[in-house]
Amino acid sequence: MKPKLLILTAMFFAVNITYGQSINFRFNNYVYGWQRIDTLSNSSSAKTTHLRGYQNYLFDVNSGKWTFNALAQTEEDIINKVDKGFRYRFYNLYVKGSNLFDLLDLKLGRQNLFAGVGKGTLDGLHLKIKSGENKEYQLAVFGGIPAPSSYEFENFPKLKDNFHFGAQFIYYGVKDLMAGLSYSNKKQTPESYSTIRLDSVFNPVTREITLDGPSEQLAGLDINYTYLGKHNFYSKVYYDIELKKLYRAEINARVAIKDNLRAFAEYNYREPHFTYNSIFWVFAYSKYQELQGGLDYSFDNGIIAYGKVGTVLYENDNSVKVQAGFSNANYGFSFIKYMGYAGESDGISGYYQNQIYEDILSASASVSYSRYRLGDIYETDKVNSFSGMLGVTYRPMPQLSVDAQGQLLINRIYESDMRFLIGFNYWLFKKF
Amino acid sequence: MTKQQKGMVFASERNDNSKLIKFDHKLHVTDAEIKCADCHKNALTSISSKDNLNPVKKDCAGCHEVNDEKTCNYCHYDGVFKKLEAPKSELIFSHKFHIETEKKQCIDCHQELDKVKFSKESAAGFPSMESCYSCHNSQKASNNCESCHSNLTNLTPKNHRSVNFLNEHKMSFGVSSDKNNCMMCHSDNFCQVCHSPVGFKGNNSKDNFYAPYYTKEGAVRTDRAALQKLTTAHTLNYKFTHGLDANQKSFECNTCHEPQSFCVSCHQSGGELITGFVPTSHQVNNFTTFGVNTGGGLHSELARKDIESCASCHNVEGSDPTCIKCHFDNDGVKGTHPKTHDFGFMKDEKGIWHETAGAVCYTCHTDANAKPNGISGVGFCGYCHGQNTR
Repeated sequence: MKPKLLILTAMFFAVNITYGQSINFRFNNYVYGWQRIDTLSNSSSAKTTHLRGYQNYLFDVNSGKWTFNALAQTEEDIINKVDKGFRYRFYNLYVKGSNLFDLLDLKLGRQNLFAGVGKGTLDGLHLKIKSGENKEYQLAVFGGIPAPSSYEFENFPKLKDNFHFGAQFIYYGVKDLMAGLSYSNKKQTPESYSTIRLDSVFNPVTREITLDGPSEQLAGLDINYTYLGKHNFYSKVYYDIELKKLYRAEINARVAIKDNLRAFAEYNYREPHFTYNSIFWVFAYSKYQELQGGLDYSFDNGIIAYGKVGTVLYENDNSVKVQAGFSNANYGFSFIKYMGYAGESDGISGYYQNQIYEDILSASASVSYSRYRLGDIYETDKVNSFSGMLGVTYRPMPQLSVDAQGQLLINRIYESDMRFLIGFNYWLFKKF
Repeated sequence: MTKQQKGMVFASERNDNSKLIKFDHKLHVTDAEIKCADCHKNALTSISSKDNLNPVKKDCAGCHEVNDEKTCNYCHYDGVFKKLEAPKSELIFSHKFHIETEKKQCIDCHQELDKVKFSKESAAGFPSMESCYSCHNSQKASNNCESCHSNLTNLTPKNHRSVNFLNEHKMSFGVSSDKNNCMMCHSDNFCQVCHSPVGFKGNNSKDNFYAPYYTKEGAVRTDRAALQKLTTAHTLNYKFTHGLDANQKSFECNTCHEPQSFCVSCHQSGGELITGFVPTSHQVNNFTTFGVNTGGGLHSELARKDIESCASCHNVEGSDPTCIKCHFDNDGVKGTHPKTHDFGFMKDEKGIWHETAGAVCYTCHTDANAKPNGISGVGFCGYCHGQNTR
C-alpha cells in the first residue's frame, strides 16, 4: 500500500503548496474477474479463476501559468496473486509553466516527449522557447533520464549509463506550413550478465558481458503543408547518425476530391531500426517499403464508407492488407484481409454504442471474428478467433458513472475465456 | 482553415426557421437596437439546453400588432403559423448560470448575429466548441467531456473515423502553432496512451495474460477501444493475431512498445511461455541448418527478409541472445563459423570495437585477442589488420 500512500501524499502536498486556481481530479476504480479453460494444458491448473482491481488517477492543479499534473495507475490481484500482486505506475508527474515571460514553456518531471526523433517518457526538463510575431519560431530543448519501463520510481540507473537529451526547431510558416528539424541523443545501457563462452580451443569459460558504447544519435526532418485548408501533405526523413543510415522516410498526401470524397496515398521507407550496439544490427537484413492508398466517402446521413489497400515490399516477397468498412458516430463495421508473407486472414469486426435512456444510461457492444494463419509458408491450417463484448454505463450525474461489462473470448489457446468487469468513475473540477 | 476544421457547425446542419417566418436579426439588433433578451426572454432563466428559447407570439407583441390579421403577412408566410424550432441538443448547459454567475453577454458566444437575417447564416452564430474552450480549458472551467456532454456515445468527430486516421492525425496536428483544436478534447495524457515507447511492460505470463493498461480515462471515453476496458488500443484477441500487423508493418509497434521489455516477456526462449506458443515457422524441417555453407535454412531467409520479427522475440536484455548458440567465433578464424555479416561489413568503418570492450562484437568474437587494442594480425583483429584467414 506504500505507493498508494505516496500518490495520495503527493497530491495532498501539491494542493497545499499551490495556491490553486483550479483543481481537476479524476479517479477510476475497476474490478474484473475471469475464468479461463486452457484446452492445451494437461496440468491441474488448466482452469483458473482470477480477480483483479485497478485504479487510474488523474490530478491537475492550475494556478495562473503554472500547472501540476499527475497521471498514475495502481493494480492489485485480489485472488490468485500474480508476480508482485501489486503494481503502481506514474505515467506523468510534472510541473508545467506556460508562456512564461511571453516566451517560454517549461516542463519539469516525468513527462511524455513529442519532438520529432526525440520521443519517449522522460524524467527531466523540457523547455520550449517561442518567438516571432505569431510565435512561428519555436525551439524545444530537453534532457533527462528515460523513465523506467515499469513507470515506477525505483532502481534508477546512473545518469552516465542512461540519458536522453535533444532539441527540435520548428518553423510554423506564414499560413499552413510546418517544418521541424530535430535531434535526439539517447543512451540506454543494457543489463550486464554472466554467461559461458568458448575459448579458442573450445574450452568453456565464464564471461561477464557488459554491453556499452556510444549513445544513439538521430536526426529528423518533418514537413507538413496544408493547401486551401483541405489538402494535406506530410513528409519526414529520419537519419541514424551513428549507423550513417536513413531509417525512416515517408511521403503522405490527403486530398479532398470533393467535399464528401477524400483520397489518400502514402509511401514509407523503413530500415529495421534497433538500439545502437544491438546484436541485431550485425546481421544481414533488408529494408522494407510500403505503399498504400484509399478513399473515404461521407454520406449526408453521417455515415462514412472507406476502403484502403496497402502493400509491403520485402526482399523478394510482399504482403497485402485490404480494409473496407463503414461507420457513423454510433456504430461501425469493417472487413480486413491479409495476403502474402505477413500471413493470411479474413476478419470482420463491428461495434455499436448508444444511449438507452437519455443522459443516464448507455450501452455498447462489439464483436470481432477472424480466420487466419500467421505466415504463408509454414502454417497450413487456419484458426478461428472470436471476441465479443457487451457493456452498460450508468451515469446518475455528470461527475459519476458506473460501468459493467462482460466479455467472451474464443481463440487458438483458450476454448473459452469469460470476463466480467465492474467499476466506477468519478471526476471533480473545483475553482478557488 | 475550413469551417469544419475549426469546429464550426455547418449552417445546413442547423434547424432552419427561414421557411416559417420572415425575420431579420440585423434589422432588429443593429438598426432597431433591440436587446437579445427583449425577444429571447426565457434565455435569462433557462437552465437546460433542451429549452426552446425562440420567441413566441406574445414576445413580438411588444412592437408588432400581432392581433391584426391584415398584417400577418408582414412576418408570416401564407398559411404558415408554426412554432419556431430549436436545434436538438445533448449538451448540459445553463444560460442562467453563464449570464448571472459568469457575467457573460449574449454576444460573447453568439457572434455576428447582428449581421445576418437568420442564425443559420452565421458560422459563429451558434458557439463552436472552440469558443467554449476559451473558458472550458481546465483552468477557468472544466474541460471534462461529461461536464457539458450528456451523451458520450457519439462524440467521435468524422475525420477521426477515417480508415487512415491513425496515419494521418499527425498531418492535422502541428500545421499551426496553436495545434489546431486537438487540445479541446485531448490533453497530453491522451497522446501518451499510444506514444509511450518505453511503455506498457506487461507480465505476459500465462497467469497474467490480460493486464489492464487503460489510461484513456483521462481523456475521451467514447471510442470503441476505450469501451473495451481491459485493452488500451487493440481488440481483445489481439495477442493472437498481432503477428499479422507486426509482419505487415501496419503499425509502428514500437510507438507504444519497447521490444526488449515488452515482446520478450512472452516471446523469450526459456521463459514461462503461453501454451502452444513457439512460432510454427520454428517447427518446420530445416528451420535451422547447421554447418558452414549450409545456408542456415529457413531462419536465415526469414531473418534477411524481416529481422524485426526475430528481434521481437530474441532481443533480450540481461541474457545471451539465442543467435549466440550458433553465431559465435571463438577462434577468430574467418570462414569456420556461420555466416553472419554481409560481405564488407564494417570494412571501412571506424567501429566501436576499437573503443570499448562493451561493443556487441565481443559478444560473439571471444578469442583471446578479441578486444580493443588487440594484436594486429591475430584472431579477431586479423580480419582487417594482417592476414591469418583461411
